[in-house]
Amino acid sequence: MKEKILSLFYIFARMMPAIVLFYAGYVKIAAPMEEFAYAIERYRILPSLFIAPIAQFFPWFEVYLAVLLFFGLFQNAMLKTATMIFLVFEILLLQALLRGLEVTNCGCFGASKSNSIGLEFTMNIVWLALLILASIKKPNFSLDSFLERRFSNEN
Amino acid sequence: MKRLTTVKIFSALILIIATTSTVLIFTRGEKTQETPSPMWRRMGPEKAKIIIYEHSDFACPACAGANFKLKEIMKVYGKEIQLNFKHYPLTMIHRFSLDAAAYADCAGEQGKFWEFADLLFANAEKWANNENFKEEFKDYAKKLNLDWKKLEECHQDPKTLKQIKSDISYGDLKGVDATPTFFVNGKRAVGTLQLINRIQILTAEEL
Repeated sequence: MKEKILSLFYIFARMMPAIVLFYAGYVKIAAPMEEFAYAIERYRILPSLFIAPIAQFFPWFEVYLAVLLFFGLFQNAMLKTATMIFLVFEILLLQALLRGLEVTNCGCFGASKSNSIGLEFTMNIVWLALLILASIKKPNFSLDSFLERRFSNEN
Repeated sequence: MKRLTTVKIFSALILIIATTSTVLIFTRGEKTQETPSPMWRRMGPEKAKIIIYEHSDFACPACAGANFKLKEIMKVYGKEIQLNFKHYPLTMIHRFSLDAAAYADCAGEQGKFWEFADLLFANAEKWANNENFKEEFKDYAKKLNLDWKKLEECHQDPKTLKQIKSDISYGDLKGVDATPTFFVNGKRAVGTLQLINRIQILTAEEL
């Protein structure tokens, strides 16, 4: 029973950050690209040359990563990538907090639906913790496991 | 093992294609024609080569910065640019922005919209969270020799609020989500940096 609950928890630990990533990417794609570009600008960390391409493509990257992570396809690689992404977010938020930048919302979920930097920083710690837990004990409920079982049966 | 990897890559591609299609179907944006602002919120020639629509909130610090920059730009390119101000008060975070917009429009009816707007932007931290914001506004009216009684009557007039609400709805239809948002000859720019870039491109092309 305890093992079942634990295995369910590890699935949740993988899926929850995936849902957050998907939502974050989706609202950015739905909004005009310039708004996310503006959110990136306000962190004053990237040269303006890179801002528009990143604003254009990064939300799609978030969405694809989220879907692969949710279904557990290339689970290892996706868990590592998602952890890296959340770590980068944390560094960005932390430097904005330390530099006292006038960033009223983090831009994590587009322009208007975002939380404050402080709240987002705390939430990201939770998502990071879940991802690390899922990386330690990789959930069996995944497309990876399903395909591996099928192919080992065939062989 | 090789076959398993191929199947995984193939599955990933299917997921990516399905996701792309679904997201694109659900995120088709709406397009709306620009409608000019009332005369007092318009600056520059009637037939300008560059037409800017500014969606702004008087309590937003980034809008104040953009307003300052726009004034500088208008000094240089004033004859080629028409600026239309559209109210987009973010009332969820700035409690008195809607009132500020109404008073600015009322000042506009007395011919001093831009002057009142400058004072609102410059002193936002004094009134944005101040229950006695009216006292502040009264000071600005005094500085600009405006008729305070008329200003108050105009502020109470439902027509004033209707005008601002229609600006907000218009902004919503245009997909405005952040302030300041500009439309420079129909192309969106969010924040001062993007605005300057757009104007630079247009002045190089058109002027």
